[in-house]
Amino acid sequence: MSAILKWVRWRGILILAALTPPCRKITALASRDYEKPIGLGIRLRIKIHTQICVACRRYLNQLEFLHKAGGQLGEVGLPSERQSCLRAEARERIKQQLRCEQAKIGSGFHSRMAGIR
Amino acid sequence: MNTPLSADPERWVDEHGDYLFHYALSRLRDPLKAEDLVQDALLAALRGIDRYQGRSTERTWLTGILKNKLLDYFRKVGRETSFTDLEFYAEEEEWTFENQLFPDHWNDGPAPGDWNGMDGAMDREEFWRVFHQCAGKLPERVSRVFLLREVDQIPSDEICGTLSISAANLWVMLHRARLALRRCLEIHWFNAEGQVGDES
Repeated sequence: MSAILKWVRWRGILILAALTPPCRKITALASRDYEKPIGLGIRLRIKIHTQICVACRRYLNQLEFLHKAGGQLGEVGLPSERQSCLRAEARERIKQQLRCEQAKIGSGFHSRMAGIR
Repeated sequence: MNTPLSADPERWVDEHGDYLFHYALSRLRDPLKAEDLVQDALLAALRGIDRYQGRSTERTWLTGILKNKLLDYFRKVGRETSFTDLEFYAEEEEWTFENQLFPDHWNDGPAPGDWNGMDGAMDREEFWRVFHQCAGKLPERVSRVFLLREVDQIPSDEICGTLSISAANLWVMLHRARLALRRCLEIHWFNAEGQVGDES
């Protein structure tokens, strides 16, 4: 029984090897699909490949998961306790620069500079 | 000028400073440069405050300005440095698809495992810690490309233009980043049930 199963499995892999690009190519194509959609023919071959190849099927699902996770990170951002903090020194320096800039704006520095130019 | 922002830009530093700094640092990995860019962005925001329409939140508006500052910076250094990170994980990719019987098919070791709990993972704070650790292990430029593309969702051609790389290079980098990130998440999250060991 196990011999038969093994034979079926091997045959499946052989068909896979003959019909579709190897896993290495499949994974690269699946990744590229997110940047520039791949053609219908190649999409079909990927479909056939993943019907037989469990590893690639998982890979494609996991790639979609990564894609969603990235998107979610962009929308939600990190919880504040996971963030690196701005050093107190830098914080002060930036505030000071802002005060300085505000004073320039307030005194019409920029509009006068524009006038000179 | 009737915008509520004009009153106190120093408040931006208190309320959004850490957020903006973290944003810059995760894409730069250079704390001093990240501080500089946060400062540049806030100064630019102050100068351009008239243009803030109040349509987006204050944080979104400031982050947008910071993002542009980062892209300007990448544009500048992109011309100065070569993308040697392209070689990154070339060997690893080789090994991932090292299969004696069927060349270029998965090697049993690194082949993707079954991920349980994919659905709930993103609701768990611990997951994001692992995600960041994994992204942090990628070489800097590879990680930068990945974050710009997947997190900031900047179009591919814009990334290529900014970093002065070809589309083919971008694809290779993203592909390898995904391969590596996938494997790292599998080891440190999906197989480890949230128990993170230090691999490096």
